[in-house]
Amino acid sequence: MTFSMKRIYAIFQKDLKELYRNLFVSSTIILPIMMAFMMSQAEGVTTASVTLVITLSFAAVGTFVQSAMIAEEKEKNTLRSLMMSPASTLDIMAGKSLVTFVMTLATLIVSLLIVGYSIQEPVWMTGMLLLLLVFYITLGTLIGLLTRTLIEASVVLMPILLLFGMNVTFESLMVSYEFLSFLEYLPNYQIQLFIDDLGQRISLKPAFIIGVWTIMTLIVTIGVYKKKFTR
Amino acid sequence: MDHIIEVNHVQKTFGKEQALRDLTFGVKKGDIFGFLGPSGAGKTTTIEILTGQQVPTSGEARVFGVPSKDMHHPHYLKRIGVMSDSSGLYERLSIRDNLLLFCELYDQPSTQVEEVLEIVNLTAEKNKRVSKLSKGMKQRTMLARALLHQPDLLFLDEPTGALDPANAQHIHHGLRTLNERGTTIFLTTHDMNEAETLCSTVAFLDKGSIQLLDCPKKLRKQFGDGHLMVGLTDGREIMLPNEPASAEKIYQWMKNSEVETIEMNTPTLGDIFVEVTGRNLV
Repeated sequence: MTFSMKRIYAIFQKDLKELYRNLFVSSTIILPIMMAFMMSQAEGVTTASVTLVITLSFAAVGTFVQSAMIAEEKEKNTLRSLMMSPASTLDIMAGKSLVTFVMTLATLIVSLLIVGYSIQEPVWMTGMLLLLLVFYITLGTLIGLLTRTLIEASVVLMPILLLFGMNVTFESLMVSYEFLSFLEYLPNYQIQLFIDDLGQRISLKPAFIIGVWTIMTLIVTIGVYKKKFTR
Repeated sequence: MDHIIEVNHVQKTFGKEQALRDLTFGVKKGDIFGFLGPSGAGKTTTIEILTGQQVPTSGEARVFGVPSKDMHHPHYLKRIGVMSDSSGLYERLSIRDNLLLFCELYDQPSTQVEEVLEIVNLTAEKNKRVSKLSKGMKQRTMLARALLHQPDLLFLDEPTGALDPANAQHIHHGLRTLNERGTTIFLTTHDMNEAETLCSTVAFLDKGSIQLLDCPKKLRKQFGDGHLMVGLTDGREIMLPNEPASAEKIYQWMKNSEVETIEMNTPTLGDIFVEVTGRNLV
């Protein structure tokens, strides 16, 4: 499979122009920023509030924007046109993911600044956030490939947003209902555990679990792509 | 003669439905090859096989010697241009931005945009957003995109289907110019006039197989009855056998300035299609 920076940048520019004119999708960045404002009003910054801002940024922007862009390309038959050009699948997906990556990162930085969170262990934290972001963007790609229209992708995203974007209530739920203890293994809960431990030690277990989620999602996404788009 | 498209005994089935049955034909370099047939005849499936979007269930299709399983490679995709119903445009972008994207993807200079806009008669509208365009303008934009990289072979699925006669004529002129510069064109159409004026070879496709293949002139001659139709100034139309004995009559009418038209009584491609397949084209 070929890889061309020129083509990736062309797709990146095109998607940026499209997103700028697509308020339905681009306005999603307001959600985590609003949440960050609300959290900043509370007394003291807790791990839970920081995690919420992170995961909401990743789910509402990373996953949603990526899924919406891909679903719309399918809906309007433009993905087929891209695939009929010399751009490889890698060029197309990298170009799209780059736009989502930049948008999500910008939203996250603004949100964390609003909350007033100072990052401890910046190298480890950045690494974990990047790994987590890859998971959320891959999840968005998967949803985009599985849904047929932009609206369908938006509807499918609702439960995804609840499960992977809102983890403040997980602990109380797990205490009340034992069968929900699996929630502990969700990547958004793992990042919370990782941040919790940061002051005392670097815990590698969350990195491992998030890594497994990322790899599994990547494998499923590639499988779905091959099934749907190769003859 | 060198064929750049070679299709040998191709079959294609979708579930229980057989879209193509034992399809065999070849297209020579420099041809404008017209694939004629009613909806559901298998025209689009054939284009999809030749552009790597489908693989045959059995048989073999090769374009420039590339088998269908390898048609997704960039070196093949750079040599072909495709305009079909399944091509989409970015509605929020202008015509120019749509074309600039594909210039980058095909490694073409941005000056190509102006050139193809001229061919499809959209230069004045280049900054209009695609969402504001009429169906015909969108079709012309898709055609412009297919021409951007000056492909060796152009696949056009109903290229003038949504166009008014003036724009269709403009497109025909552009396609002829491209063909003169060396681009081979493979097009599907319902439009018999288009096939007759544009195509050097036509194939009649019905129920997934080719019923007839030749150049339009030869077909019309072959299916004609060999008579001449003489139209006179008094409104009469007289049919004469195309033989020396008719010359004397025609001479007399001409001498008295009574002849308005003289033409061979040949059937249209549409008439021939009906005769061969028993079906109408539309």
